[in-house]
Amino acid sequence: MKSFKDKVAAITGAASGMGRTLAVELARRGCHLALSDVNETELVRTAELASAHGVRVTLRRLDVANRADVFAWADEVVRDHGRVNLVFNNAGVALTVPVEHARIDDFEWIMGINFWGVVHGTQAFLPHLKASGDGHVVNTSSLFGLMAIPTQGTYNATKFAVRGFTEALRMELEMEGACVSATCVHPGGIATNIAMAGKVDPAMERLTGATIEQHKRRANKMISTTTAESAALQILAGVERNARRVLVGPDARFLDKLVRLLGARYQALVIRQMRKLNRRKAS
Amino acid sequence: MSIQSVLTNLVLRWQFKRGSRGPLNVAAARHKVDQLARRYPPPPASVRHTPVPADPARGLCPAEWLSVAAPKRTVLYFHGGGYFFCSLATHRPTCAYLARTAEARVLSVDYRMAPEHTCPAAVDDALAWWKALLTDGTKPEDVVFAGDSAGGGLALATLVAARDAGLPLPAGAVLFSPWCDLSCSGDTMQTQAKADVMFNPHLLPEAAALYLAGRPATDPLASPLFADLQGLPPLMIHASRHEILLADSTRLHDRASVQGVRSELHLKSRMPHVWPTMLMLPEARRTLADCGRWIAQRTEAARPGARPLS
Repeated sequence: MKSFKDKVAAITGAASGMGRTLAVELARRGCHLALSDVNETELVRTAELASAHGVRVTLRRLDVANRADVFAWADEVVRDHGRVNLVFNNAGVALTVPVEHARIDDFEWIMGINFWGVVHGTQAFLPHLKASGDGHVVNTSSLFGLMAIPTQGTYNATKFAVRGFTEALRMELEMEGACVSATCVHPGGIATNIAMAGKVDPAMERLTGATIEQHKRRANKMISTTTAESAALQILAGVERNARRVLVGPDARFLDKLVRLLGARYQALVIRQMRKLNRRKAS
Repeated sequence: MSIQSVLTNLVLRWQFKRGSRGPLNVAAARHKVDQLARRYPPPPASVRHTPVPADPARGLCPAEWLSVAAPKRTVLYFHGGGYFFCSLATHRPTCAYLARTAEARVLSVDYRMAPEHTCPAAVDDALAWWKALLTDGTKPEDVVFAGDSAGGGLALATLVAARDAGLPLPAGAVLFSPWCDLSCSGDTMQTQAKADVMFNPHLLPEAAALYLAGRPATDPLASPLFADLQGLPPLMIHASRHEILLADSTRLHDRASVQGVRSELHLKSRMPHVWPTMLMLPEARRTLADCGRWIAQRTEAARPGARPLS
């Protein structure tokens, strides 16, 4: 995809964060939009911001974990816009809990949105992207899809899964000579509401002595490396140059290199940093 | 990206781009490619090569068939070369390869070129051959047009001219980096000027001027990008992300899609202009295999009684 002008893009999780900034930036470049999210109130706000640029915007309240709903939405998008060129499987949530204490319903909740949401979005839209003659699948993994972090085991599992799924898809499309491509996005810390809106398991309170609220605030402080606006620009630049992997933010670019340099030994470094951080908080 | 394409890019940058920094030299360009074509191997034994002399009585320019033993369909091919150079010989290996992948007979047309013959001589020649094929009993649904660069633009202009003349249209068209805007107004003329391994941007308007000979560059017969595209058959467009003519392909795809024409856009990074015609590249052989499959699908789908493609 060289230009987004007069294309049609579907974005999940468009009510906030990178979903919203992607929507606004695409609208600014003349791309028509089909937006979805579970939060309808904020979704309407995104639509207002985007339609100020004079593009056609359609909305749908959607839980990406619901396969039938995602397929129905894909058909609806093609009905409303005539075609669809891009799908941004962007919706994602956070869960902080050690693996030992992870409750299965929480695990299924985050898997449903972060992983199955991406799978459903990809499979529902792929035939339509092929029919458009010029299509692109953009799946959001994470820096934590490249490296693991203690207490993020469930989140890591969803994001590593998205990466494997998307990289395989990309190769399949290339081997097939399809007019559709795929890009896997790995954002580092982006200033969005993912930490505040995410879940922290009560087990964390017992283990660290800090309240859930404190955990969320700490995480929120740590992810403010890159603005969501800048993230959208970096993602769209990656789609334009048909990148296989887009690393968003200096932290993602640095840690990706570090992990590749150290191999599995990066874990020792993470442990040392976590201990240092915990000591600082305790004192 | 293959090692072959890395080396080809280097050679093209040194031989082609560096060698064409000055003003356009028609004779030198023609001489160079003719010398090169002399060294090409003849078509493989499985492909029969039949030259067709000009037929002034029917208004036909020379052409040549490259056909497999039992062709299932026909491809009408227009070679590239900025409407002023290249020939049947320079594109014979590509046409022979396409004949095999599409299980087809390929008619490569030696249309008249500038500066001796200007617009719309090339379109007249192309249209005359299309009429001749139809008169000789070829079913339009068994034919796909194809062309590279200026030949891609010519294939598109011929589709437009055939539609306007009320002639039946073929089942589709395969276009490699088509040059369909002779006004050279695409933004990639500037943005890809450094990345393009073949062209210095100043040469294209010079070549366009030779062919246009005073006609407006936006004339749809010369620049079919600006034509009404409605009613055209499906298009399959291949181009490089790193060539100055990229915007011709992307704008054509977008305009076609908006006007209800089925179009597929296939882009590859870091490849030279019209790389599918360069058979030493594995990417080219793969793409020609994809094109062969597409041509087979299109002609099957266009046959009366065939189930429409979803």
